[in-house]
Amino acid sequence: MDAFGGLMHGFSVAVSPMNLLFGFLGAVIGTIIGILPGLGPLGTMALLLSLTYGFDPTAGMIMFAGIYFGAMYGGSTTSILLNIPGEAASVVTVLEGYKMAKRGRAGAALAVAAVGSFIAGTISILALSFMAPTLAVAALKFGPPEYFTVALVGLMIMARLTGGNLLKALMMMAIGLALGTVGMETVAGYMRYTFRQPMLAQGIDFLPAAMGLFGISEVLMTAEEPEENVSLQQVRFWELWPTSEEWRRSFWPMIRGSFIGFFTGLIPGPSPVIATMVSYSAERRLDKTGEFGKGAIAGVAGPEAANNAAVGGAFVPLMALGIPFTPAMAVIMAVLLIHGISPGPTLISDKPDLFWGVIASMYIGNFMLLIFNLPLVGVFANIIKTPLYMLMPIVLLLCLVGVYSINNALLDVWLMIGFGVLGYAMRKLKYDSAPLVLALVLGPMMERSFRESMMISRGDLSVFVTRPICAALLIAGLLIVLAPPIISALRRKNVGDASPA
Amino acid sequence: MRKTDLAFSGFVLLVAIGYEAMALWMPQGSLKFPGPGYYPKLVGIFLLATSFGCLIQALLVRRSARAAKPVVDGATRPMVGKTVALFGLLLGYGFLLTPLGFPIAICLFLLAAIRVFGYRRWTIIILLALGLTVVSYVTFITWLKVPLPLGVVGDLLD
Repeated sequence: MDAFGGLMHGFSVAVSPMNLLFGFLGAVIGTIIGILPGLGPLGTMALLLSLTYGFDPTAGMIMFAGIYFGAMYGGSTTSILLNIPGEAASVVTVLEGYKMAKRGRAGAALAVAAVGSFIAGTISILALSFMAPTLAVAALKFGPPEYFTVALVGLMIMARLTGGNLLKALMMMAIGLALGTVGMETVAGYMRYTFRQPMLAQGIDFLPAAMGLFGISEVLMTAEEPEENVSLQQVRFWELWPTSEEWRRSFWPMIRGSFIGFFTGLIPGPSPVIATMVSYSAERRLDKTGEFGKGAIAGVAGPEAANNAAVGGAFVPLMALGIPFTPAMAVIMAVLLIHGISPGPTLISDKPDLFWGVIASMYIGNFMLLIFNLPLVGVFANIIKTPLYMLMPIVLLLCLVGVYSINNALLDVWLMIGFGVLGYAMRKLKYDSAPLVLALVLGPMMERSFRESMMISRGDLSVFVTRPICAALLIAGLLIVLAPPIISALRRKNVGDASPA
Repeated sequence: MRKTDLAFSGFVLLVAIGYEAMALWMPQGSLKFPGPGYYPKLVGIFLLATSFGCLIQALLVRRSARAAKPVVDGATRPMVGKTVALFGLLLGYGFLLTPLGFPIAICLFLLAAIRVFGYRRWTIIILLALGLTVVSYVTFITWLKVPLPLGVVGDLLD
């Protein structure tokens, strides 16, 4: 089935009433959590994962894709109207969006953000439709050394791009890898780090870790902050239409943002956040109006397009290789795993309904988001006024029930609480949780492919550099990891040389 | 921050030493046929190196950074007591879930959590906690068939 035929088949799957309903539900939930600061799409998907046990896997995937896209839409609303980014990927939107709102152009900013997100979603979904099957065919040639290298390079890049301190990110990655070795080892059935606790034999599931590190720790952090009263900028429906000049200034930033976002999404790490930053700095450099910093519409259109396109890009490695490059994608992968489906190169041929159905639903979900987000922007923005004493206990309730239902085990509740406290400490000490979670997810696969690689190559470690795909991946990874510090060191040296003695 | 950073990386270093020691006790195999302990040994070395690096980094932080610590006034000071209380509530829920059962444990948890988050009117707190308990019971136990422990409520229902 070619990409176009596949997409058409996907639309026939996606328009079933049940899938439409799940897409709509996901979009609404995603918009709401995008608006609420703190609880991001990852935490929400982790705690809703238990609900998908009863769903068809396609419906579950459709709902989660809707949540992810919806969060990107929702995040822009509070950034523009309240100067509060609901989502990390909307932080950049605050810079120009809120200033536009203060100039009375909130409606135009919201409309451009929504239309930009829709255009970017469309471009990224089309690119995903064509790129994922091609990559999947290439991935059929992957052996254990290639999988090991992909995971290793992915983790290295993740540690580099999460921002902050590289050494701290690497330590988090090491902790994640170490936690991934807990449980019964698959080749000889040897028990490792279980301390004679039978419950630990199956290892540490990444979901209690993700829910603790992202959900519980967020609640603990929120608890100690004083509650703020928010004042909302009112927007009337008829004010939503931008002027023709605003459309003209937004068009190319949206297109550029879409491509920047999609390709950034292919890279491991917090791709939607990085995409918005890259897009914003690109637009700022290209700006000739001098409006940046005073409410430039290009500064809203580009980043908002970029964060949505990054979501589409992030689906490519998951769908084609079966390797999640972000913790959020790992949760989406869990939807498939709990139904006994392994994502990977054969997913497209084995489960065309699921693959193409999900892609087509993303498109429909984006359209739904565009249609209902703009007229209901006032309603959604008011959600932020929900008092914490109601919101936070509900989040905790969902976490406590959700984590128990993964394996019906109290151990998972304890693990989640433990990871919650660890996550709280890590936030206080400026450690990023994402490398830990991703390493926990990828660790078992890395070990398996490492051991298989060694057996295939008879203990020859050069297998990781002599195979062309491995070598190319390692070079690309090293360039991404090492290039920024080398470039900045060279710049410093040049500045030092140029300055008069 | 410097002290807590030091303590945290020191703690991870200790864990790394324990982890590596246990890995070395496991069958190692050879590079041709790696045993169960081979990969953990490599991970342990990585963990040791990074935690040691973080410890050194924390030690090297200039004391001037401590001097430049921002002054926090009473209005913006974090309310750590609430976090500690919530942590206690989570532990309490964990301990009470099996003996008391989900409905009672979660209701007590919600009552206390709403209070911790600053709401003061007990009538509303009780109504909210009871309402959320009923909704969660119907959603998760009745509808989604999650086998949460019922404890004493289960005995009463039987």
